[in-house]
Amino acid sequence: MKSCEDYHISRRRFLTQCAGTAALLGMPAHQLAAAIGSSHAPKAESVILFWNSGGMSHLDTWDPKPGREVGGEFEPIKTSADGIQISEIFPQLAKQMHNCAIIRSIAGTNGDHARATYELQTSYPQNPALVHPGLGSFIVNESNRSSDLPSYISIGGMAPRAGYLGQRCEAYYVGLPGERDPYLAFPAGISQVQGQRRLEALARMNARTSGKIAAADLKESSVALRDAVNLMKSPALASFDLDKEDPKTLERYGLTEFGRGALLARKLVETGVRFVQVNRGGFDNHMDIFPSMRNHGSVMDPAISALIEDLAASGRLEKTLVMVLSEFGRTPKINKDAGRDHHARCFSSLIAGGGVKGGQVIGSSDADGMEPKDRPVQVADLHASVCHALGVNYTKELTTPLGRPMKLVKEGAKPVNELFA
Amino acid sequence: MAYRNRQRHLAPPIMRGSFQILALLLTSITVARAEFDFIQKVQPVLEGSCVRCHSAEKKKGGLRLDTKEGFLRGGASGPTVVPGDVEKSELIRRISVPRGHEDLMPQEMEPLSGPHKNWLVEWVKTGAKWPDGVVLKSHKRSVPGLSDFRLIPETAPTSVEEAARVADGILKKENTPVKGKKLLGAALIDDLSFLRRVTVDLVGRIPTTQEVAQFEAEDARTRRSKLVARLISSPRFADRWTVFYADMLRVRSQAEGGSQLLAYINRCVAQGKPYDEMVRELISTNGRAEQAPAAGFALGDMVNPMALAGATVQVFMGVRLACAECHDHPFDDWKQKEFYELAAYFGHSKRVETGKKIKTVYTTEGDEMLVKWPPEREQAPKRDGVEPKFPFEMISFKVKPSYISRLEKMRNPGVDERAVANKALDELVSDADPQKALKASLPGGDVLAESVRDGKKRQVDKSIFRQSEERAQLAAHITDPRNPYFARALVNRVWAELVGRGFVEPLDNFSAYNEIRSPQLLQYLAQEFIASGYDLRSLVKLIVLTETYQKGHLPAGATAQESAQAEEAFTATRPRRMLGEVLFDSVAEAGHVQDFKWPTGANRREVQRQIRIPIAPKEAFAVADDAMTGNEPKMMGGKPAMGSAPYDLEKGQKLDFDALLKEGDTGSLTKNKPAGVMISEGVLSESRMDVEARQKKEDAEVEAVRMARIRALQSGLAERFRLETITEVLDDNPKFDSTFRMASPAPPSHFVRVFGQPSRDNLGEFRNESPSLRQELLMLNGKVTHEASRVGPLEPIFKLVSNPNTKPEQIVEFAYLEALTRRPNREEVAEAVSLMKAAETPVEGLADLRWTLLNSLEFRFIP
Repeated sequence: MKSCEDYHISRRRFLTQCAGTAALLGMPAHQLAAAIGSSHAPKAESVILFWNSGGMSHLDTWDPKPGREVGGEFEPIKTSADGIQISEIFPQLAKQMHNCAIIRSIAGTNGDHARATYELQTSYPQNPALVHPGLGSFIVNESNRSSDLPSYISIGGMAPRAGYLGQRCEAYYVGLPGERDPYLAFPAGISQVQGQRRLEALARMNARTSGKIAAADLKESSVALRDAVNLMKSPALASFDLDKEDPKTLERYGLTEFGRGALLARKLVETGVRFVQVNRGGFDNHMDIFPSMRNHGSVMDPAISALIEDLAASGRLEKTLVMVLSEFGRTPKINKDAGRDHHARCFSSLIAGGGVKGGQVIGSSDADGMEPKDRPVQVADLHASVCHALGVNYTKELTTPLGRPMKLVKEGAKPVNELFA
Repeated sequence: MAYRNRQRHLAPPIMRGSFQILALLLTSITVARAEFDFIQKVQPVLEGSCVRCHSAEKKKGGLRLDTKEGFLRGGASGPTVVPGDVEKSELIRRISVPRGHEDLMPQEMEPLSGPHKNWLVEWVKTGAKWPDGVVLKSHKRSVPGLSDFRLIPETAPTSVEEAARVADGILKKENTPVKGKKLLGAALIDDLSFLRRVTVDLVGRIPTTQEVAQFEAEDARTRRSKLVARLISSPRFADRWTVFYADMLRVRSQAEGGSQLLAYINRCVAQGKPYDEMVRELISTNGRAEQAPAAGFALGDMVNPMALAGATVQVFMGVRLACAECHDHPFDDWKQKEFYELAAYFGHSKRVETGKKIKTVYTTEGDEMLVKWPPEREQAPKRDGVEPKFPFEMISFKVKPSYISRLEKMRNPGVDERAVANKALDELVSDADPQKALKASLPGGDVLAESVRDGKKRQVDKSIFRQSEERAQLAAHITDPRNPYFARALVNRVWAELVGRGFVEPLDNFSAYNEIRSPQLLQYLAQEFIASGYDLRSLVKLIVLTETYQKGHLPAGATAQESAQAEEAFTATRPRRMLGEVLFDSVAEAGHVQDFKWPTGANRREVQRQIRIPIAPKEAFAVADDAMTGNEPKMMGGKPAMGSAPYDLEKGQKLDFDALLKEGDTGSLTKNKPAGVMISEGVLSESRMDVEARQKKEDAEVEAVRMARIRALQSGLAERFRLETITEVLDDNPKFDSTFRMASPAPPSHFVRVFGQPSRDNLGEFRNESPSLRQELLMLNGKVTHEASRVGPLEPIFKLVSNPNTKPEQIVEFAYLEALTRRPNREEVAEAVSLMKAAETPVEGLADLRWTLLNSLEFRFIP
């Protein structure tokens, strides 16, 4: 079974969805490696994507430029990985660098928020005629469901759309981490007994309707209803609660919404959720970038470092790919408002776990972080890499509802193999 | 392309007759008959569906189906036909496998319809005769569905009721040629089902019990048409059909000018603006959305000529040309160059953005032609501006069709009917003058005609909003009554919205390679639509008065194939789920929660909830909040889409359509006239000074916010908070606004989105009708269903339930009428009574019953 809720294909989709969607996840490792033309077997089972919207400065985070005019206010600090330095705003994360890889040579193409976001999340340039699915959507489309919970969960912000894959591959949405989704339980004042009585009456009523009219839609609605009731009763729902967590744990992740989001993400992947996206905004720092980034550091540092530490301690890091990404970087030149503007030509990403070899930097930027100096990485290579880590065939061709053949990841993309070496 | 008038239509049957007599005399009747069938039936089907991929040009699967030899030779899967043996014929297998099957032919278009399949089966059975020397050709560019008008009467109907009868008659005749298996059909729905169906479709909510009573009190012979007349003139009609247009035009409140565009469309529908006029304004208007809301259409595609060309043709004509932006169209015959020529109509238009802190965006015309040939990626040494050219041909005729004369008469009662067709037509497309089009797109624009015209000459040169001559020309071409696509494209959409299936599917894919079901009915409706002056209300009225609209669904037991066939032939209707907006409003209507149903304070109770206590000192945040979240990109805002606590997927952002059309920010050039009409001389002449003036805003204030923000950020505590549970007293008495006047599309997790409201950023994107787990959760546990189920003292059923003399059966009946617009049967009454008895109090028992009714499939699916 596909992991996005696949009740039926909309009647408007008169074309066959690409046949033979046998998920590669079930294959033995060596076969799988052979299937995707690589020498190392995929290890990742789930993904946590930290999406920083607004365009996070690469120079003030993963790619510091000490001693240069463009370097800005922050000093680089040493990390647990020999020879790798990152910005001082991440003191805890620095201690996890032996688990993390940094790509410093992403060659973006677009400096407009919406278009760059689209490309970074889907691997495709924006096109008025078609909406491509985001990374989370196509990953869950290609993998098996392994939890009672929805396979794709987005925390604290909007996830990209599922595009031509349709509603069934859209993310399940968690607004405020730690707060129970009220739609997963009967409304206040309705007891279990009363709720159960209602459900039974509803089942009788619906059976009568389905007995009268010929319509596939009615049957499929009943399946959806059954799944919804099962989810409401599922013990896995407890992973959404954070109040039973040790207060010290909450403290370690930082007492912020983002920190709670990171903690929730960990708990969700532990129950088998395939793809969690944790969103955070506020990176479009055209003004006063340094106080903003200091704040971002104080929020991100405890959250991401605690997450990696915990995943590593439980042995789960091998199976969980953690990625910190933004739609572009920011200009080396500091503008008159003490800010930096959009810069797409060169920026960075932090990646850990899921079979990624830690303690390495891939690619580099030139002296001022203006252009990739060596090993330029194309945007779509990032998507291919995530697919690769999960054993998803990124060259697979799907068919859109209008009959247009479409590769999962943009043609020409290649995984960044050094990540997995 | 020739328009075949009635005289010419008479020819084929006569020829057919003489051909048969001749055949009888000369050879055996069977051979002639077979040959006749081939030319009349088999050839068009093969040419329309097979030959485009299997011919000398394009031998897909190594197969040629354009010649007799190719047919007999077959392709990779063996011989195409074995004459006389249907079972062994690959052709028949391929066209007969179920929808969605890998082997189904033709690909990339709708499967063949029942009659077309039957013709091919019959042909194979009778020996697959292929007349010597006949070579089939694919239909290059022909306009689909205009070859035959024999069933369309010459005379105009005297009433809309008569037109509906004529429409039914045409359909019946179009369905006659079906051979073989008989088409299943459904009977007409009963009165109450009709009441529910048509109320939902026309005003976007279920009928109230008062409306049921009023309807039942009327004369049974005329109540249906009286009801339709009432609904058509209801103010909610405009709201419901704004949703229709908003989907079609991809209106997004979040886009630049999107909310104004939505309000503008609402006003167009409310005021009955002719559709062609509205479209001319949408295509041609330049300006600032606050002043000229129709400019929101171009702004929605960022005034990108390529995107606008693709969208304009697909949306207004139902022709998918967008593929040709990057390459020649793969299966239609459009060339990339033609797409560029179409885009060139938009090639001088541009979007201008001024101001950094307070943005002003408008559209205007530039001097440079931005559409250049050859395409950029060919990296040609020199690229030249492209001349605009309309790639579609108008129908031509010797005798002017009566529907066009009727339109002329209606628009221009004084015109001499014998006047030259073309001249009159040019007058019809009256808004070819872009200044005039712009003017008319303004709120209260008609009133302004003269004053604007006076000022026009003086001001036009100074204006920063230059209007586009080219786009006005394009608009005139598209809305020309001789354009064979324009009216039919809209009729097809309206029909599908009401009947559940279009004549053409996907709805925006008119193509020689895509079959039109019941083409003559479509053409008839299109002609009536044109003759009515492109009046949406007349069209809707005509459709809902047909028997075809009033057909029921097939009963359980019918196979998926039988259902599909009946729905495609319109002999039964498809069970349609209510639109998300309609479902929400209907639940609110059924449960009386559009207004308070409890007296103030009656529902006070203590609730516990978690709140966030910031760890940083309060002062640090006082001014900083906005600044910290205010600079997010729109698409991926850091803020959760549903806003902060309480978690609510049913709350929308309310839009005030009237306020949106009242310019609030035009500065000195605008003066307010009495009677709410806004006169804006500045529309055409807004000076640069005004734009600049708007950009200057209180620098000191900005600086103060900035400093506060920096302090908060540097504290390292800015985003830290503790959660604390507090107890508060709440008067639990909510009411819910109509979702029709909400910013749309709603956030992705909102009720209406989960129930299929499209994101509207995708050409060719339609409402998603598939069920989902999320939908069920929203209904089972959502606020609106919960509140609608509860029984409040200010609603009618409360009197019943609190009166000790009321029989439980009466309560059940009322609850059924209120929620399902029908009375319960015996079994249902018994079940409901026992459900109610199981509860602690009658009021709670009734809430349980109502919850069940609102959650039921029957509630959600239109009868």
